[in-house]
Amino acid sequence: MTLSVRNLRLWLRSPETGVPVEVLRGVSFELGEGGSLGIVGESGSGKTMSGLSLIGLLPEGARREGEIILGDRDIIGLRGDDIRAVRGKSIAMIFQDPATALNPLIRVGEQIAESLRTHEGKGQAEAARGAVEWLGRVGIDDPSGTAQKYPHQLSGGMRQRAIIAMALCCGPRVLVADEPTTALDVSLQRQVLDLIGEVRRSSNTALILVSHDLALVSNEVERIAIMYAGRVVEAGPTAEVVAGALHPYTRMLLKAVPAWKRGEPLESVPGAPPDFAALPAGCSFRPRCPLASDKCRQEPVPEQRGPRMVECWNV
Amino acid sequence: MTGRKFWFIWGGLFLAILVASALFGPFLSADPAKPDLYARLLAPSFAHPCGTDELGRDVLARLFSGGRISLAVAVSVVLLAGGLGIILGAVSGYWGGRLDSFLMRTVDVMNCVPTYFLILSLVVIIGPSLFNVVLVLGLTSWTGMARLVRAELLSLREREFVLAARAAGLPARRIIARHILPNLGTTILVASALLAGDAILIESGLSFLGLGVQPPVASWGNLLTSGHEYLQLAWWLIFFPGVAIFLAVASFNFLAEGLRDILDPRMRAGS
Amino acid sequence: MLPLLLGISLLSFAIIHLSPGGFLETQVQMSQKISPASIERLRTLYGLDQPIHVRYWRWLKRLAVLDLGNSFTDGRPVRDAIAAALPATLLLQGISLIIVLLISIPLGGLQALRHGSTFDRSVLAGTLLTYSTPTFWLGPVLMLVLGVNLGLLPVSGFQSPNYAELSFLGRFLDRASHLALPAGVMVIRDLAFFTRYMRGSLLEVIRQEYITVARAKGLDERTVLFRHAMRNALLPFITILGMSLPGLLGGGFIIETIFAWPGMGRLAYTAATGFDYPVIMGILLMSSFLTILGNLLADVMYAVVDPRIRYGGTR
Repeated sequence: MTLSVRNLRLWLRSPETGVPVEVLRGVSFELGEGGSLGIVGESGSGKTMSGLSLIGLLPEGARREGEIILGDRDIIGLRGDDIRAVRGKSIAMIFQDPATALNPLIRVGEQIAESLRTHEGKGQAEAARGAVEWLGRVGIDDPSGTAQKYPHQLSGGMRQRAIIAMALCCGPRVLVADEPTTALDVSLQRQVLDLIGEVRRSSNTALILVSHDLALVSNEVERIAIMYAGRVVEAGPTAEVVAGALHPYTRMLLKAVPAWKRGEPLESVPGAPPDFAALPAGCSFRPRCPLASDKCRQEPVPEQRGPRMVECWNV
Repeated sequence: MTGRKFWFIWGGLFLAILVASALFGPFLSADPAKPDLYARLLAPSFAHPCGTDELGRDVLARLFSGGRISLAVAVSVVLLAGGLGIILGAVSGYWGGRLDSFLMRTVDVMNCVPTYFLILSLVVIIGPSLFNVVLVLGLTSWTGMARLVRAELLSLREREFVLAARAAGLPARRIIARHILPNLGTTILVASALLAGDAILIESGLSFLGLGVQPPVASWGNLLTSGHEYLQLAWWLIFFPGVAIFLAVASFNFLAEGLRDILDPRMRAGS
Repeated sequence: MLPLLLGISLLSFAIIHLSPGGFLETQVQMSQKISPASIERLRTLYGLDQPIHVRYWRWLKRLAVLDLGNSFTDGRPVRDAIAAALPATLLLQGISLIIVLLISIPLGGLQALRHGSTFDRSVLAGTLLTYSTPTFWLGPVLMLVLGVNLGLLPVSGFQSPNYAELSFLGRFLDRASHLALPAGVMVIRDLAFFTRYMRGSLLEVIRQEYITVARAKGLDERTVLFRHAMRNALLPFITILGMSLPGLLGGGFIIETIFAWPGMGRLAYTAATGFDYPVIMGILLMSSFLTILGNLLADVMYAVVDPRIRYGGTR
């Protein structure tokens, strides 16, 4: 296993009261070499925090517990220079909005070269060449010209490509993509996803794709994990989960995907996302679950069924 | 959190003391205008807690009447400049077009001129007096408020509830007054508090140099003039009026900071 | 820029004619300092016997060649008086500005990094207090304590009487010691604004996504701060400096008067008390002109430094 996360818990401090709130309540997943995993959930489910927790990019006062095993060592305890050596080099992350992810005052090529200098110890000239090469690899037409440009001079699609180049240039083993296409036009979404797929396959980088869009994710990844209220409530091979969802929440998410057929009503998941400061006792999905029963007052136990996992009493 | 209320408490407290002393002080202390040449330049004592000045007048009493002046200045300037700024800014932001361009050009021009020089030239031409100082300050300090109000108006103008009001056919005046301005409440309050503090500073400065409130009317500023003259002989003449100005201005600024604190979290909560 | 200049000329023209009742008549009533000869000079200068548009045109023509008339008190051309006073003001302002920036940039920056801490609050409170302190109180108090009682620093003037006889180092120290008090008071007053601005600017920059990305790339905090954050945070300072020019030029007025510093501010004071209209108007116009110049300079510098302006974008 390239990456193995076991029982990851995360507490964040609320800015007003300073009281810690548990936002990840025991998340576990695994990623094989060159594999792909999709993490799907509503906003507030903890999916973004899962990604940030891997590399410890958390706000002041945050606390983690559990195991994050990269290769053969647990990186959860790493601090300072040690965790910085992991960021970008072993685990890379790209974010949602290409417009704001690049420093507007620094040339694009330089921002890529910066990573190369930091992690691969390359000199100025060598790193600059490497940056141009990577810009070419992500399908940019005039890589050396583009490297000299500033971010505002590039189109949205080109910027996202540059960001992908920046993330992958040091050959990380895992790429975490947090909603990489949400801020893009539909036409660009496909291009970017294809690019990510292509580049990571050539360097055998594993992918964690985080999104709220189940339909989108299901086309890109081998395994999928559905998150709700800080826990993984269902996981398994994508095809199996989509074809036969076990958890009521997953089923609702699937039903909410528009069928694009005339006459079919649009469904949504009823109710509101949970408030982490006031979670119900037992199964956190109980208030919104059509199958809720008395048994659900007890916290459900993860049940392993072959390659699949589900946490629900009503399966 | 104690932090949140901190600014308010201290600012409000001192402001309350200021207002109270200005209103009631003169009744409790000696006559500020009565010279007593046998009691000139006395150091602070029980009889005269802040000493006496070069004409034997009780400094504390003069501080109290000076306080009235300063408060009057603060209130008048805020009303005048603030009112002018709100109206002009609202009109400019709501209607836009040529009126807006013209007003903004005027603001630009006025911002290029150093305030003190502008005030100075105006005061020299129409003569120094309390009324003139307030008038001049009012006519030159409206630009900040106008800019603020205009900016808010520009953004609020496009918001749904305004569009809804316009679609319902409400007259512009009503829309501005009932729907838009209340949202600006805190912004206007913050700007007003800052204006008040600055007004007191500028008026005292002018009075200090003899270009503002003329003696024998006591303004904290012109109390400092004699303080300056007798600097080495009578430290209390400069100390107490200065402290008074300092406390008054600081309390307005603290109040403004406290109001800003209310504004900020509300803004951030939305993100 | 041209409309601004025109606007200023209009404004000052209007001011001159502002006096209720006849312009000159009121002055004669108010002060005996104006002799009939001065009144005649004023009449010619402002062409008060001509219709208003003619007056304005003549006024403009004079301004264009910087003919600001002659001083009432000593008959010197206003232009010369201002030219003589300007360097002193620039020296004082310049030194104060440099010192203020040297203090407030690190201070404000540190506040931003320790946002919400006791340090942040204390500095905020401290700068609010210094802002509320009247310069005409602080100045004399410091004069008394440091200048008179302790005899450490000279309390007034530009240079000592024996300046010409001092060695180079002696002259430098003499200048510096005369600058110390007035510049010190100025610094204390201006500290609040710039520190606050720096704090706000850096806070805003830190929240930007490209800073998170920089950290995710594994860069160390120093690089993130100085290479990415500071550059972006300092950029708006150029504009801010331009905007604070009028305040700097005019605000020194009280300080210059108290410390008998022979600059524009003191000139304005003596002119005001002496009802020397040409001088006051001249100062008004010159300082406004300098401000416009300064803003222009700031705009140019901004265009040079900000690549978003230097090269237009595709956006």
